[in-house]
Amino acid sequence: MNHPICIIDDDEDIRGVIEYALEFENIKTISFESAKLAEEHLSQLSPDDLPSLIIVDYMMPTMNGVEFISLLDEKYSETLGKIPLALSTGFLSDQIKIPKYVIKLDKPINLQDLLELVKKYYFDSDYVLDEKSRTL
Amino acid sequence: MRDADKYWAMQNLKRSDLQTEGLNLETLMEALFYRDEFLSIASHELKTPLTTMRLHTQVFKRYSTKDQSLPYSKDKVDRLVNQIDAQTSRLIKLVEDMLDISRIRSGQLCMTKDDFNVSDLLHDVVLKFSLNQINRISLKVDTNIFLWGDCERVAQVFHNIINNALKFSKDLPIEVTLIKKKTKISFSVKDQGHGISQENQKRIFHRFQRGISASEVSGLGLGLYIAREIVESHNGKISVKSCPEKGSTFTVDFISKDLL
Repeated sequence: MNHPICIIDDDEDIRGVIEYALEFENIKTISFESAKLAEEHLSQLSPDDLPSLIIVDYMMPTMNGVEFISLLDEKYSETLGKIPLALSTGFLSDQIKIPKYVIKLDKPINLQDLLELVKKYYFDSDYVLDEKSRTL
Repeated sequence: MRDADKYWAMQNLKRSDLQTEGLNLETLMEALFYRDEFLSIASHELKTPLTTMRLHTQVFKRYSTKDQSLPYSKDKVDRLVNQIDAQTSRLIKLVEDMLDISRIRSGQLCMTKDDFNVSDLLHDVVLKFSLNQINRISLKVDTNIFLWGDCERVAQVFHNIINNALKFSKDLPIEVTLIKKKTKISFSVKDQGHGISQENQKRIFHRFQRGISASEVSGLGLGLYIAREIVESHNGKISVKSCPEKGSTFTVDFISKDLL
């Protein structure tokens, strides 16, 4: 069974259009409007139910994408912290500090880039809890 | 002050020149900082609606190329088209705001003034918000108040201030009032949002500055600056009273036409 792709973005339209694009490729998704809600939900999941990839927006209120990534590393290093991560942002690389193991997904997101990224993780579930998968 | 900015300024400006021109290096550095921050936020704000539009059109293109029809009901197609339309409007508003800044700087923000019913105008502005937003607006308007001014620009002032109040107070109600006193026409918007610190109250009407972090609430941070310029070109005055965590009241006072 494939593990869903997790989308975290405070913009409802962006969450919707990513879900919509992936739905056509028969890829399951779970979405959250904030990093806090995502943490609350994901931290309750058993390792077998974890998403195959988390796509998190950078600019969000309360907790931004980079803060969310740091939280996963610090608080959930043995579970959520091992899920591959992509940070979606309209900022340039030199404007924000992104950990090397995080994939940068530039806005405006290109469908081909999105599908290549998602399919790589969605259709190969061996990455889960595999430390090396975080080194890209 | 960022080192890169300081280095740049020192390379390009001589302190003596600054003194001759009556300029202060710190002030210039601060202006550079806010300009750069604005450009950074502007690129993000422009790319966000573009993401929705680009992905929708690329999905359509992908399936039309494959000669597959999209298995969607008319309702869903309507919703997607409405999303693209809303994002297009968002982009247009961003570009218009940026053009207004340019017009203000070059003194080309033209006003076409006429006598118009500002009470009716405020009702029209409110009706353009979404139904959810309208339900949060408590409106108290004296009828048939007339103002001498640029109807479209005054509508822009009303929209910017109401929109800010809705954005900054999440789902809480706001109060919008328009009353005529003896010598002035007073428009005010009261919210129960984050509130604005004393320090930020001094700078929110300036270009590229905002009362709250860009990551908290979207937008370019130009709305109040543009509003102030429009209000002042009508010989009016814009002000704010606010208490952090309790909310803010923005007031615009226009001079009654009888006194002009």
